[in-house]
Amino acid sequence: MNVGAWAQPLPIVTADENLEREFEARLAESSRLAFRVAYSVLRHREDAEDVAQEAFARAYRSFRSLRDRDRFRAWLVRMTWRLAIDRLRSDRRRSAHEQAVEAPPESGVAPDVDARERQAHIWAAIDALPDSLRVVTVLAAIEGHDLKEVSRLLGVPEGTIKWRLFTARKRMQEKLRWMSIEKG
Amino acid sequence: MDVDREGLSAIERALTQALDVELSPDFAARVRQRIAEESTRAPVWRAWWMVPAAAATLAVITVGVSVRSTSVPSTPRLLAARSMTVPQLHPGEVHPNRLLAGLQSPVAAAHPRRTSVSAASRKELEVLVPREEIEMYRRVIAAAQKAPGAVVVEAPPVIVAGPFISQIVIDPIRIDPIVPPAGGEGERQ
Repeated sequence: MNVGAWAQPLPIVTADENLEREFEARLAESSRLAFRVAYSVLRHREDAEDVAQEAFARAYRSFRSLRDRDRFRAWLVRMTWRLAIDRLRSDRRRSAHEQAVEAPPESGVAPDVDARERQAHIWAAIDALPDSLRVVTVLAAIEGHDLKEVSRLLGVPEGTIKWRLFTARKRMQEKLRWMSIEKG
Repeated sequence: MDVDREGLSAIERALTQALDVELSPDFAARVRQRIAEESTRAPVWRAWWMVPAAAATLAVITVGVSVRSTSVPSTPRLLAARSMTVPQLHPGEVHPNRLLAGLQSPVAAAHPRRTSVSAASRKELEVLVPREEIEMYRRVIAAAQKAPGAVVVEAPPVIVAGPFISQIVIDPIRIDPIVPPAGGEGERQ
């Protein structure tokens, strides 16, 4: 046995430092998720970032009870969604942006007019969905979440998520039939 | 069916593309900055919250104390004034002037300190004995003093010096057993 190793002083890591580290890890892995959830509601880059930041700041305040990864992400998604909806409802200036589609700057080539128009129609179809269907649709389209992951994020049974996703897609399909015809 | 599937996949692809928006590179830094700002602002927020709370608490305490000081004294103080203890006066020490003093102000005669406290808190003493009654006693005593041939009886000192209870000796009670009369149980009635 190497006795000398035991004699070496161990680095002192306080509980607060551990919490900080864990929060940093959560921030790194979930910031995109929060931002996209907010963006799906607001469709305004700065506003979405602001809402996501607010959600993280709130998460930090009660991080002691949100240390578990799944619990944290579920809480974050719900909080971000709620904050984004609140922002959308309260901020009247956003009404001009609701129908306008902002081109994603990092997507490389600027989208053409057809692509913009298509996105505008998709957002309109999503906006027409009730809240419970809309959030499921958005989460399923973000980061390739499967039914299980969406179920965990929303704290809703998997069967319910499946039904909601099916219903949402059907309704969107009705509204966007012209797209499929074009594609077909 | 295939057309439906293709349509759905086209919608999904378009949706995924629409949501494929990247964060600003400094997003994490701004979150940290926001958290730091909030933590520095927290004491101010707490102070703002605590000032009205402290004021409200102080107001409640003040109201409670004032209500109590106006309502409470009425009964207990009067009861305290009424519950005077009569000084142990020996018959030989009874003097008409002292009796009058006691009648005029029984509280003052029994507890001078208590009277001063109640006099400070209340300007006028409560009348415990009706004035007419006091005047009547005064007249009776004056008439007795003026009367010719009035006899003042001095109490014998034996009455005054009574033994304390601890000094009283009580003989143990003795019960003699009842002995049945000789020759049987007696006659039945």
